[in-house]
Amino acid sequence: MITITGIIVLALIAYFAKEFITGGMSISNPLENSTTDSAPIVEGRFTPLSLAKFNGTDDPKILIAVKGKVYDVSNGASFYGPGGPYENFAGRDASRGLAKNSFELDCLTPTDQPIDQLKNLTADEIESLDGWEQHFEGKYPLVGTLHENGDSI
Amino acid sequence: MEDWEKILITLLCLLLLNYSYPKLLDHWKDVPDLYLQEQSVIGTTRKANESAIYTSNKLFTGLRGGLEIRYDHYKIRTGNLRDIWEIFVNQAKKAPEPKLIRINGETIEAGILNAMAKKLGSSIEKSTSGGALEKVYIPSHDLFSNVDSLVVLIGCFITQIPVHIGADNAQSNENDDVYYYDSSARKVGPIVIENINTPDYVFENVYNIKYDQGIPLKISNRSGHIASEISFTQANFASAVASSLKHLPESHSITKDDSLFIYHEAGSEVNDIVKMLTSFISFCDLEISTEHLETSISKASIVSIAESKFLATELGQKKTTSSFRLNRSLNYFSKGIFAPIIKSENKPRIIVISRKIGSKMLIGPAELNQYRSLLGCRIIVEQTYPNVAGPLLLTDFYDYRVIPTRNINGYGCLSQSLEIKLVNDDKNVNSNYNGTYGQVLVRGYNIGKMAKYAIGLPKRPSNQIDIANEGFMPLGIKGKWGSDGCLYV
Repeated sequence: MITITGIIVLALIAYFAKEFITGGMSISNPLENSTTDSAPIVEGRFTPLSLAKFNGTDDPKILIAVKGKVYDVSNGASFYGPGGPYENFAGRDASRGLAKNSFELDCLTPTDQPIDQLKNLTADEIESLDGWEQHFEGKYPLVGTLHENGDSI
Repeated sequence: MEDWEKILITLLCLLLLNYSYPKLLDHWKDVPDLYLQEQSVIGTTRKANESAIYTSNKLFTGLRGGLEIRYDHYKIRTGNLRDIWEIFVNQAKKAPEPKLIRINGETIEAGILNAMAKKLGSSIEKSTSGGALEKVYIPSHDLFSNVDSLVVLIGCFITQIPVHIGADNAQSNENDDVYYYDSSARKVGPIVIENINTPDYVFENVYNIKYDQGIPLKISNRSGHIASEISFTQANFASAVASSLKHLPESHSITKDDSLFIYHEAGSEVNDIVKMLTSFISFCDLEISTEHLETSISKASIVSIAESKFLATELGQKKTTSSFRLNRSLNYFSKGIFAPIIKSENKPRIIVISRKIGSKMLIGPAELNQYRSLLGCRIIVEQTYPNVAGPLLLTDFYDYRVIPTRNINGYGCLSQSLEIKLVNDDKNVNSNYNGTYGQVLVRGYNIGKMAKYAIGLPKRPSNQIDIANEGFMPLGIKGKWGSDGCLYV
C-alpha cells in the first residue's frame, strides 16, 4: 500500500529525474539574439514625419529639433517624455515654441507641413531661441539635421 | 486512499515542484539574469556605418579616469604613481607585521624597499642635476627578476624618472642619455644600488600637478627591422589601477588578507605592473615570479597568469572526479549558480587568466566552469592589447555562462577606463548595416601612445588616432557586439 509520504517521494524522484535528463547545461548565445527595441538611432537626416515617432511613446527614444538640428533628449525624459512639461515638443520641431516660451500645440508646425522658417519672431524671441540652442548643444547629443518631407534622407 | 486521490496528490506535488524549483534556482543565482544580459551601457545614437559607443555598465558617471583622491578638502584628482606608493607606505607603517614582498624567490620588507627606492631615486637625480637624463633602461628579462629590479622601478616611479623596458637589442642604436640597469653589477648607470638595513616608513608626498604629468614608463619591442615604442602616462596607470580595483564586486574585493601571485612573462610588463600597483593600494601580500613556482601558486589567494602558463600548472591540469557530481555542478554553473564540487578554504579564490586579444582561445567557457568547479574558485579571463594598460576586455566575476565559441577567439565586458565602437569596414555601403559588427576602435584613459619606426629612422607616432574620428584608435581586429553588451572578437 502506497502512503502519502511514498507518493511525495516518488514525485520528487520523478521530477528530479526529468530535470536531470532534460534540464542539462544552459547554453547562452548572445550573438544570436538582437535587441531591436533599444537599437541606437542612426545619426543623420530627419524629416518632420520621420522625426515624429521619436516621442517617447511610439519609440522609447525622444528627439527634438531646434533650429534645424536634431538632439537626442532621451536623458531628459522627465521633461520631454510622456507626462513631462515639455512633452508636446517630443518628436517635433520645437523652435517656435522655445522662442516664445510656449508649450502650446499651436506653436508646433504640423508634421506634414513645410518646416517653420521662424520668420516674424521678435528680437527677444530670437535671443531666447539662441539660448535654448546653446542649452541643447551643451547638454544633449546632436544626432542629425532636419529636412523637408520628401527630401532624400 | 483511493487511486484517484493518489494520482491527484502526485500531480499536485509535480506541479508544485515545477513551479518552485525554477524559483529556487533563481534564488541560488549569484546575480539576476538581467545583470549578465546588460554588461554595457550603449550609446543612444550611432553613425550610419558604425555601432553605438559602448561603455562598462559598472560606471555611474563617465569613464573611470583615476583614483579620485581628495585634496584641498573638496577637490578630486586622478592620482599618480607617487600617490599609489604613498598609500602603500602609509599602510605598511600601520601594519602590525612587516609587509613582505617576494620577487622571484627573494624577499624584501616594504620599509626597506621604500628606503632603497628613495635612496636610489635621489642618487640618480643628484647625478644628473647638471644634465638631462632621458630614462632608465631595464632589459625586459631583468624586470621582476630580483628585488633590485623592483627597487629600480619604484625608485624611478617616485622620482619621476622615466623607465624604459625593452628587449635587449632594441636600444642598440640608442644615442640618448640613458642609464642602463645592470643586474649583475647592481648598478643603474654609474649609481650602485645600495643595501639598506633600516626600514623607512616615511614617504612625503606633497601634491604638485607636475607629478600627474610625464611618461613614467615606455615599453619597446622589435620585430625584424621594425621597432615599436609605447609610452604610458601617469593617468594611464591611475585609470587602469582604479578599473582593476572596481571590476571586482564589493564583497569579493582584494583586501589586505589576500595574497596576490603574479606569474610574469615577457610581453605582459604593463599589465603586471598595473596588477602590482593594484596590490599596493589594496595592501595584499605580493609575490611576482618569472618562474613556475607551484607552491607559491597554490598558496596565493589570487593568481594572475597567462592562459598558456596556466595550463602548465598543477591547477591547470584537469583532475578526475565523479562525472555525475561534476555534470550537476557544471549544469548549475551554466545557469549562473556558483556550485563547485570542491568547497572550502582552498586557495586560490580568484584566478585571473590573461590572453592577448585576438589570439586563439585555449580554454573555452565550458572548460572554465570545469576549473571553477574543480578548484572551487572564481575565474576572470582578461584580454590584453599592447598599448592598453590593464585589460581591454574581461569577463565578469559572476559570468559562468556557457557560450558557443565557434568563430570567436574571446569575449568580455569592457574595461571601465575605455569605450569601444565598431566600424563597418565593408567597402560596399550596406544600407542594412545594423551597427553590431566591424573593426574595433577604442578610446579611453588607459591607452598608451605607440610609435613604430624602422630601425635607424626617426620615430613617428603610429597610434592612428584619427582626430576626425573623435580620437578613437583602431586595433586592427574585428569584433561583434552580443546582445549582452559584451564584445566578441
